Amino acid sequence: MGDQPIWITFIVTFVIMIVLLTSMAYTTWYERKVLARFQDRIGPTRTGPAGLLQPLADAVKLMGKEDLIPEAADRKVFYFAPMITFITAILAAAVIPWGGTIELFGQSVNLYPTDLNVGALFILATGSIGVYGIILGGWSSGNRYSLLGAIRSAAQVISYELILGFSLVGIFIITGTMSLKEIMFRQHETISFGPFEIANWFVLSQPLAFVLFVIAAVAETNRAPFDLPEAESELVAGFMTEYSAMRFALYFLGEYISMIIMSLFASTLFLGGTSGPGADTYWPLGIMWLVLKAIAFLFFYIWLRATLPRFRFDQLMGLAWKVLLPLAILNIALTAFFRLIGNGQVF
Amino acid sequence: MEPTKTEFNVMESTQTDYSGTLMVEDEHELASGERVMTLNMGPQHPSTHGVMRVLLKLDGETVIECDPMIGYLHRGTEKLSETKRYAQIVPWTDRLDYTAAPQNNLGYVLAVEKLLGLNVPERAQYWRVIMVELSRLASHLVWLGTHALDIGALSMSLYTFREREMIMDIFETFCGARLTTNMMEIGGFSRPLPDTLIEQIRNFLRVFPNRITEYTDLLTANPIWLARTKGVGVITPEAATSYSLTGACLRGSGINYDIRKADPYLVYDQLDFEVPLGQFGDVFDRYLVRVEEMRQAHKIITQALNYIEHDDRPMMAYESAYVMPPHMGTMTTAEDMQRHFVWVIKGFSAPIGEVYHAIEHGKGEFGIHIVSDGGSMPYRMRIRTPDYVNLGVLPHMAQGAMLADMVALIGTIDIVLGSVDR
Amino acid sequence: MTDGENQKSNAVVTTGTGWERELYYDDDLSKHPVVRELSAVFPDDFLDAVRFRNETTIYVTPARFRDIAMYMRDHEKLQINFLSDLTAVDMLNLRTAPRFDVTAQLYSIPNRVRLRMKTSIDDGQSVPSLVPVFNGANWMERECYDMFGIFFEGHPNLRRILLQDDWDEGHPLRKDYPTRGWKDFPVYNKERTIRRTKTRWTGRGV
Repeated sequence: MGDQPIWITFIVTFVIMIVLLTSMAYTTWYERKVLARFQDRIGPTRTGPAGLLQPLADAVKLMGKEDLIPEAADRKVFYFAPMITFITAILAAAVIPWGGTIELFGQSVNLYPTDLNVGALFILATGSIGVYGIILGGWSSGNRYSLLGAIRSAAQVISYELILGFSLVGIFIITGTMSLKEIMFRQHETISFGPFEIANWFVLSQPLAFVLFVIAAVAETNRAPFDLPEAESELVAGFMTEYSAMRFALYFLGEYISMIIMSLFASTLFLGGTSGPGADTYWPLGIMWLVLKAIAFLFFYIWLRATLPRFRFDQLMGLAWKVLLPLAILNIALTAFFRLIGNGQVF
Repeated sequence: MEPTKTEFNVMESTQTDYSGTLMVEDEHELASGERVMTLNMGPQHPSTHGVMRVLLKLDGETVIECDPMIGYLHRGTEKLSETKRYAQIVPWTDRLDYTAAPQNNLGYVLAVEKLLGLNVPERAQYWRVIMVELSRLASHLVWLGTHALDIGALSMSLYTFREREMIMDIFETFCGARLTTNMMEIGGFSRPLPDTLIEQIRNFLRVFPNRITEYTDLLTANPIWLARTKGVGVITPEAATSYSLTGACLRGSGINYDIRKADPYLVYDQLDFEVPLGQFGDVFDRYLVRVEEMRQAHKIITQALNYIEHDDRPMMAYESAYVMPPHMGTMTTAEDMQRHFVWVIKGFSAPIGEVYHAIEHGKGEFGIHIVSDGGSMPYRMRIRTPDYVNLGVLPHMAQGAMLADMVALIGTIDIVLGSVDR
Repeated sequence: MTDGENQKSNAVVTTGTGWERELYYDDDLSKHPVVRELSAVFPDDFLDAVRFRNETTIYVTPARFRDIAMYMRDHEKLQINFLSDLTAVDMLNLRTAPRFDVTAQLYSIPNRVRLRMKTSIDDGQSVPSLVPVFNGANWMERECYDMFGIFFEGHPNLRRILLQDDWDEGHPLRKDYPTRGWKDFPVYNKERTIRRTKTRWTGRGV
C-alpha cells in the first residue's frame, strides 16, 4: 500500500476531487427533486432534461451576483470564513477509501488518496475546524442574527462532536484501528449467522452506536431537524444572513460536501463501505455499492428535512447531554466489556 | 452604563406627561453584569407573517421583553370608509384579512344589514355559511402551513396550500376572484350560482377529511412538534379574557365563547356543530382547537350543502332601495336598470343610528361598528379585527420564552398583517 | 369540556329573579339589568340608555367611565367581563359639544349579552383608562389615541401604534383631518398644528 508512485496518487486525488465537486452540485439537484416529491411537487424541470442542468444554472447565477460586504463587517475575517468551511469539508474526503489496491494498466493503484492510521479522527477534526468558518463568519458579519447563529453553531458542534466521537469508540475497540481502510476491510469478512453467511457490517454489532452516529451526523452537518445555526424561521439565515454570491455558495457547498462526506463516512464505518455482492472480485462494483449506500444516506437526510420540525436550542442541548451522551458511554462500556469477554480477560 | 439622555418634545397633554420615563437604553446591563441584546425582528423577517416588527430584549436566547410594532401596512380603511358609499366598502374589507376575504365581507354586510333592518332570504344565508366556512378553512390552512413552517416542519405548508388551492378554485367559480373575493353583497347574492359549483364543493368535501388526518399524522404525534408547542405560550383563562382574546386563542384557554353559538347569526343556530375547547392554553392546545375547527367547518359545510343543494328560491332580499337589483332585470327591464343606476351612482340612505355586529371570524371576533348619520356613507366605521386585539397578548406570552419560541408565539396568534394594521 | 357544560356551569340565569337573559332584550329599557343596577348605584354618573336594533347603549360620565366598567365586571350577576372593542367617534359634524364619544363594546361571556358604553368628552379632556379593568384595552386605547388624540388617564404606555412614532400631522380619524392627509395643503403643512414628538420603545413590554 502506500508505495505507489506519487503521480498516481495525484491522479486518484484529482479524480476524486472532480467527482466530489460534481456530485456536490448534483446533491443539490437530488435534494430538490426528492424534497419536491415529498412535498407533492415535481421540482426543477426547466433547465435541461429533468432539471439536470439546474446546478449549472445556480452556479452561473451565484457567480454573477454582487459580493456584498456589510459596513459593520470585519472584512478580512468575513472574506476568509467561508473558505475555511469549504476547504475543511473537502479535505475530509482525503481519507475516505473507495476500495483497496487494484491493478490498472499494469500499475498498482490505491483507490484512496491516503490511508492515515487516524483516518476517523481526521474526519472528526476537519469537521471541528470547519465550524470555525461558521463561527467566524457569523461573528464577522456584524449582524445579530448571524452572531446568534454562530453561537448556536459553536454550542451545537461542541455537543455533537462529542457524541460523534464517542459513537465510534465501539468500532475502534472491536477493530483496534482508526484507519478507515482497515475498518472497511474488516467488514468485508463474513460471519455465519445460523445457515446464512452475512457480511460483518458494524451496524449489526454496533446498532446503538449507529443510531447515535446518524443523529450526531445530522446535527454535525447542521441539517434539519438540527439546523439551528441557520434556522430560517427565527434567524433568517443564521450565520449566512449577510453573505451573498460565491461566498454564500461556499457555505452552501461546504454544507453539502459535509453531507456527502458524512454519508460516505457512515457507509464506510457501519455499512461495510465497498462491501457488497461482487465487490471483492470486481472493484467498480465496490465503488457502486459505496455510492449507493451514500445516496441512501442522503435520501435519509432529505427525508428528515421533509418530515420533522426544528428543535429548540435548549431541547437540542438537552438531547445531546442528557440522552445521547449517556447512551454513547453505555455503548462504549458494553463494547469494551464484550471485547474483554471475547479476549478471555474477564471470566 | 449611564443611560444617555435623549431630548424629545413632550406631547402637549393636559393631564400627564405620557412620554416621560421611557428610554431603556439599547444595551443596558443585567443584574448579572451581562448586557442585554436588542434584536430587531422584522419588518422584513420570514416569520412575522408580513411587515410586523418585534423589538426583543434578549438575555442569551431568552426573551426578557418584547414590543411588537405594527402599522407598516396601515391603509386607513376606517378613514376611507367614511368617504365611500356602503356598497363600495365591501371590496375594502377584502384587504383586511386577505386570507379570509369572504369572512370580512360577511362581517361588514351583516353589520350594514343590521343597520338597514334587512332580512336576507334563507337560501342566501345558507350559501353565505358555506362560503364563510370554506373561507375559514382556507384561513386555518394558511395558518397551519405557516405555523408549522415557522416551527420548522417544511412540508406542511405545501400540503395545506394544496387544499387551499381547491378552496380558491371554488371561490373562483363562485365569484370570479380567488383572494380578494368581494363576494358578499348587501341583501344576499344578486347573481345565479354557477353550474359546476356544487360538484366542486362535493369534491373538496370528499377529500378533505383524509387530508386533515394527514396533517395530524405528521404533527400531533411528532415528538419534536410536541416539545416545541406543549407548555409554550401559556395563557390562563383569566388572562385570555382580560386581554380580550377571541377565537382559538380564547378557546384554547378553555373559555367557551364562539359567537356562532353565543349569539348566532345567519343560520348557525340550525346547524349542528361543536365548539372545541383547549385545556392548558398553550400553543399545542390552540393548534388542536384550530384543527378541530377545521373538522367542524367541514361538518357545517356538509350539512348546509345537503340542505340547500336542490333549493332554487331567490337569493336576494326585496327591499328595493337597499339592495342591488337582480342581474337579469338590470339587463332586460328599464325599471331595474334605473334602480341599478341610482343604487350604483347615488347609493342609499341608511337609517340614523349605530350598530355593532360581530361574527366569528377564523381568527376571532370580527366586529364592525357603524355610526350612521343618515347619509349614504357611514359617518364612522370601526373595524374590530381579531388579530389586532389578539396580538396585544404577545408581550405577555413572550416573557421568558426562547427566541425560537417567539416565532411559535407569533404563529399561534394567527395574525395577518393586513388585518392587524387595517 | 363540551359546549353545553361550560355554559351551564357559568350561567347565572334562573327564572323570575330579574336576571333573565330576555330582560336584556326587553323593549322596556328600565327592566334592563344593567340600567336598573347602574341607575341605583351610579345615579349621577349614569346618564342615559338607548336601544337601537336590539342593541343597548348606555351613556356615562367620563369621570366614572372606568369605575362603572369595573363595577359591571365585578358584579356577580352582570358579569360583563369582556371588552370587545374600544374606540371613539368624532362627533364634530353632528353636534357642537362635546366633541368625542368614547365607545366601549362590552360583552358578558357567561350571560351572552352585549352592551355599548359611551362617554362624551371634549378635545383635550381625558378619559380614565380601562387598562386596569381589561388588559386588552391597552392597544385599543393606544389606537384611539393614535387616531383621535384622546388621552387616557392612567394608561401605562400611551403612544402611537399604527402610525409611525414621529407622525406629525395630527390624528387622522378626526373629522377635520382631510382624507388624503395634509400633503394637499401646503400652507397648512408649514405650521404644524401638533408639535413633532419622539416616542421610543419603553422597555415595559406592553
